[in-house]
Amino acid sequence: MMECRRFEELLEAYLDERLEGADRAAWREHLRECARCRRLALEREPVLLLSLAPRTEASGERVAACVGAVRALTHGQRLQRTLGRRRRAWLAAAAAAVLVAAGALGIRGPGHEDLQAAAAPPAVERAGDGVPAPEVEVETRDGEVRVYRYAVDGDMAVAFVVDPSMEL
Amino acid sequence: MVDVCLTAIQGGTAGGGAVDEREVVERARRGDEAMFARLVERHSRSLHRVVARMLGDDEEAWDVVQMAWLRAWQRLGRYDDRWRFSTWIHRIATNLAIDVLRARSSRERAHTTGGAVWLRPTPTGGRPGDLVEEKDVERILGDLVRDLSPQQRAAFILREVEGLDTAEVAEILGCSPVTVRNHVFQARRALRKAMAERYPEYVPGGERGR
Repeated sequence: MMECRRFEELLEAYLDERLEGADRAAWREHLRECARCRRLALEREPVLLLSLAPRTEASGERVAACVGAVRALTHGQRLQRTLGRRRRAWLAAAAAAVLVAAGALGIRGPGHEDLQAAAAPPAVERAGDGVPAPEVEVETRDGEVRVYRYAVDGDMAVAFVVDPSMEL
Repeated sequence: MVDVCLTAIQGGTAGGGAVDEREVVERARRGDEAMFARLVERHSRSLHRVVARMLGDDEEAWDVVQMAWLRAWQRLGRYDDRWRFSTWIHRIATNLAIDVLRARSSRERAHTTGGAVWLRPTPTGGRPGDLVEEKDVERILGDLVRDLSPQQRAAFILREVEGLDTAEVAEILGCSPVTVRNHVFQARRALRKAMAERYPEYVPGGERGR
């Protein structure tokens, strides 16, 4: 522990913000422990009283609650990121399917009528519900993303399977 | 209780504790949520103490601490390990607390028509140098720091209450050591004046100038 004489010598250095490191920590400890030196220091600078504020510690339960809340927040973020990645993979797959379809039409060497058909694809209806079936559907199953393209007559065929870990 | 700087507050062990912390941070950076939770557990007490004293509100301080951790999680990839992790996370939390204080002060400006009204706590009749009850010091501190600007408040609490070195306070506040000293001097001057007005029993011979 710092001696009282040394504490007095360093008082002005402390108040002038020239004391750092171990000397400063020892000086502050002495301020807390020694009533005589504390009285001397507070007469010189009353604001030093505020340096004696207790080192309060939050309870273990409160810290555990904070840890739990932060874990929930970070986990939620991770989930959002993962879903975002899947959504991007879906979009990539859908875009690729459209390209494949367009490519297939292109290989056949479309005439004027074919081009019109490609620009305005026939609205294939699903049996009885009156709702036009989509040309391309995407489905996730067992960790894979499957892209289906409907043929004009309404039959379904697997176009390709996309690796869900793929990132664009 | 002995005053110590943040290095000792973190709850880690000396020497090897620092290495351990680097490993924990590195694993958290690679996405290990359990390691990140360990950091939260290790640093939240000191973060909360600093932020609660800045804001004067225990519960709001926990909200800020949680927000600071979320921000740290989002930015862990940008953490530069030349910094001590405790300095980095204290910087995030302190900046958030300063933002809260600024928002609060602009709200108060918008809604206050007259001068501020201070509730003066009951004086305890102490004498300068007497061992004041710690809870009284806490109460007086909470009352007086409201006179300070957010930056002065942060600098005074980190430097004079938490006992950190000037260099670390400068890193946390993102300013130079000279600026930290200026904040502390200005804070002391304002606190001395407020203390003489509201707690004259702790000021020998009334207001003093340095």
